[in-house]
Amino acid sequence: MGMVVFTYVAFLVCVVGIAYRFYRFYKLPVNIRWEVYPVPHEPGEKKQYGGSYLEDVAWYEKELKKDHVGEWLEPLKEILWLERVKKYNRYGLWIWSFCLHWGLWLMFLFVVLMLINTKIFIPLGLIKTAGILGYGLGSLGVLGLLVKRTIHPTLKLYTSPIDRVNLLLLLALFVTGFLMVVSDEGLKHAFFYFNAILSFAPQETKVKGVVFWHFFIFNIFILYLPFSKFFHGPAKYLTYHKILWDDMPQSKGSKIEKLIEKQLGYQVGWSGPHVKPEKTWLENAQN
Amino acid sequence: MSLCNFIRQELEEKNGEDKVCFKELSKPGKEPLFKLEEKEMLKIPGIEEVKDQTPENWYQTYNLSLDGYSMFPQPDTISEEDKVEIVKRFLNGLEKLLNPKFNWTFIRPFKLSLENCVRCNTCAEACHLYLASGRKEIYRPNFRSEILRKIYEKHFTLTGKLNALLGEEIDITYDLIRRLFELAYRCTLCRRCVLYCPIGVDNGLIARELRKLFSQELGWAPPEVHQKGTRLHLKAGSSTGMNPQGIRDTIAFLEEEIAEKTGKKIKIPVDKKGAEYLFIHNAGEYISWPDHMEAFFLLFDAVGINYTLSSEPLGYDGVNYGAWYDDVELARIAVNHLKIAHSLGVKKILVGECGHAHKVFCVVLDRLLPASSPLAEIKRESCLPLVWEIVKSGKLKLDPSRNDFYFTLHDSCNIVRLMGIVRPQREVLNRIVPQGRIKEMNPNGVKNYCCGGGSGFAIMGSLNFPTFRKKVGIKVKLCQIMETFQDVLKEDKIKLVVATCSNCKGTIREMEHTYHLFEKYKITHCGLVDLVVNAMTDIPPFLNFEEMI
Repeated sequence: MGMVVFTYVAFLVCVVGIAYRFYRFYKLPVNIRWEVYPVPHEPGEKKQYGGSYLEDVAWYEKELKKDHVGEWLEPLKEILWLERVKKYNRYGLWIWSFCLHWGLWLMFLFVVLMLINTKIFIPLGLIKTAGILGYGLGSLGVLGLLVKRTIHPTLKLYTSPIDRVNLLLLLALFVTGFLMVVSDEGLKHAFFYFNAILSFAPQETKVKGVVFWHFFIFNIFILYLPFSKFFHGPAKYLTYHKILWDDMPQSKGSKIEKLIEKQLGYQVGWSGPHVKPEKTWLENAQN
Repeated sequence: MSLCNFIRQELEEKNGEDKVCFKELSKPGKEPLFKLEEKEMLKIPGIEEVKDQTPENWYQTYNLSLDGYSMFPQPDTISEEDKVEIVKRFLNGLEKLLNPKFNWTFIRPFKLSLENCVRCNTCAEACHLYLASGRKEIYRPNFRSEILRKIYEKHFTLTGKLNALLGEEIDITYDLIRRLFELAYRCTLCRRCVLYCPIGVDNGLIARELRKLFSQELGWAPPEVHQKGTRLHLKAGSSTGMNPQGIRDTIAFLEEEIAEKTGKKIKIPVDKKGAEYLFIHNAGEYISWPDHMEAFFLLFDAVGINYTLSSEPLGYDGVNYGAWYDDVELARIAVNHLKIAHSLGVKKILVGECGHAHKVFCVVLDRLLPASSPLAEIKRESCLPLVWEIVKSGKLKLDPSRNDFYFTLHDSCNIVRLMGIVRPQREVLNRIVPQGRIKEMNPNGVKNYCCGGGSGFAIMGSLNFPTFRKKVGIKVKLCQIMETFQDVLKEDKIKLVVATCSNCKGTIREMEHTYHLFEKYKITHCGLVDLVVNAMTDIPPFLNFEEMI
């Protein structure tokens, strides 16, 4: 019973935590434009070679076109293939990182299949395959990263104790999950567990052994995700879509205009000899 | 052999050796953490290395404790009490960087980059300084960011406190802060590393935020950027020191020179009210590359562009060094530029071939004022699309054979990677030079390397910083240029590096002088518009490189 309640709490904290992190970001003042090209919502071949609307004379007299599909397809290269790590990382991280990330995606797929299976029959073989592949790949990936970050002098230098704790947490998650899905007994108990979650019947599940430990660690993982380095996944949306690809010019009457107006009224506050700290940004700029 | 292979073969990282760890930055004293060894650095065939001639007494008088170089010519004789005070002020500054009101301009990207790096170090291979140094740890784009993260985490997060409990702590001392200050100026803010980061972490921005903290809170900045840069710009009207009378005299001189060279008597409009464009360029161009300015005026005259120059203080110098280190100075210069344009009643500002001025006018300025402000009504445009429009319009009679040189195009980071203006300059070049003469660099476009003069590097001349720039800063670009021209190096034909940015041109000029590129290989540089005018058939050939060198 406790485990199911813990799951509800962990899920809720995860959702609220991620929403809170996004809320905190959006509450921050809107920044000066700081884009980097290529920007994938540029239409046509511009997005390929890194061109922008600024290549046109009197661009402000034309309608600025945006390729929304391009903007949403581009991140998939990173999410599904870790393209930049594959292309540029010289520490051999790609294969391990790739396994870890696909471990996570397949683990989430396994969870979704299990949840669906409580209402609509899904062949056990499919669920088991997703689970074994996900947890197996994940375990392999984390192990590889742990070894790399322990023996490679550069990576070791850039690995903090908390980074190791995070990797160990993932390792525990994947290994317990793997042990759970390879046994039919484990899967059966997992099914009861998901059934209890969906039917809001916490009293109907009795998880123990490796199944207990797996879901206990899983809950810790999702509970911890919004407040840890694991947030780098959702954060990518913000770094790319909201900063590096945010090249839309300010327009009259827009929300951004109102924000800029407000922000210019903030007191500068800095103490350098050339700054007037008690004055606002606008007053400093006009000085 | 491609540049990447070249660098990979030349510079294999020595695992485990000479790794400077983060804690070493707190080491007391003025002893540099390491010295750059020639044998470990990027070597370019046919290029002789510059000797380091730093006087011995500088190591004691100044603070060269990072890598044996410094751009800050302030004698380092600080009392223990002052050191404690500096640490306190630094931490105050960091708090201000994280304060939404004090740092509204960049807090969003700054916090994202500070909090979400997973330390995969994929960014390292993007950095020309890191590669040229022989992959020295401290020049890794992520190294300075990590130091700042450790300080931030220690003071502001639970993770940092946990890490400290687990034995990983960094001592925040004067020595650490002084080295971090230098380290903020071991990055050209080219932001190439952002293109490599799988998460979108911006180490260039972190370097700029550090510079900002030092300037806006401690008043520390390289003198060429601050006292002789933005301060002089705001006081005298130009960072070159040129005053309004100076610019009027210069314009008169250019008119005479144009008449002498071409037989054309043109009147360069100054302070003309109601023109379509206020043309604004880097004032350094009038001094260092007057032919380039003449080329613009000839071109505008030939096609009847309705423009004016300004002789108001600041109105004739489009640079804005604030872009490199200080938001307050950035805003002051930018707003002054707009006020001048507004008082002239022009519709648009046309930015000359100056990279950081491009970015400030066309990108940064977009959110410095509300869109409805009368100042923001003035549109800002790059000159490059306009030059392309002129060339393709057919209004000029152009003879490509007059540009009988080999060419490569250096991409200004600000104009290309940070603004997405990639094609117009290529289209222009293709039209005005003989076929088969353009050799693209590898890589080029948005992935091209920085010239090594970005973010103030080109003008920072204090102490032995120029030696660092020559030994490390400009090396990858030099390697690229040599590689691009490798199959024609021995030909007795001029090889031109076309650069649409004053800083880039200045840096390439330094390469030429330091490594005798013209004498040895006939490699030199010029702007884009110079070549357009050189191809104009109704005036005599305009460029004479033998004379200009």
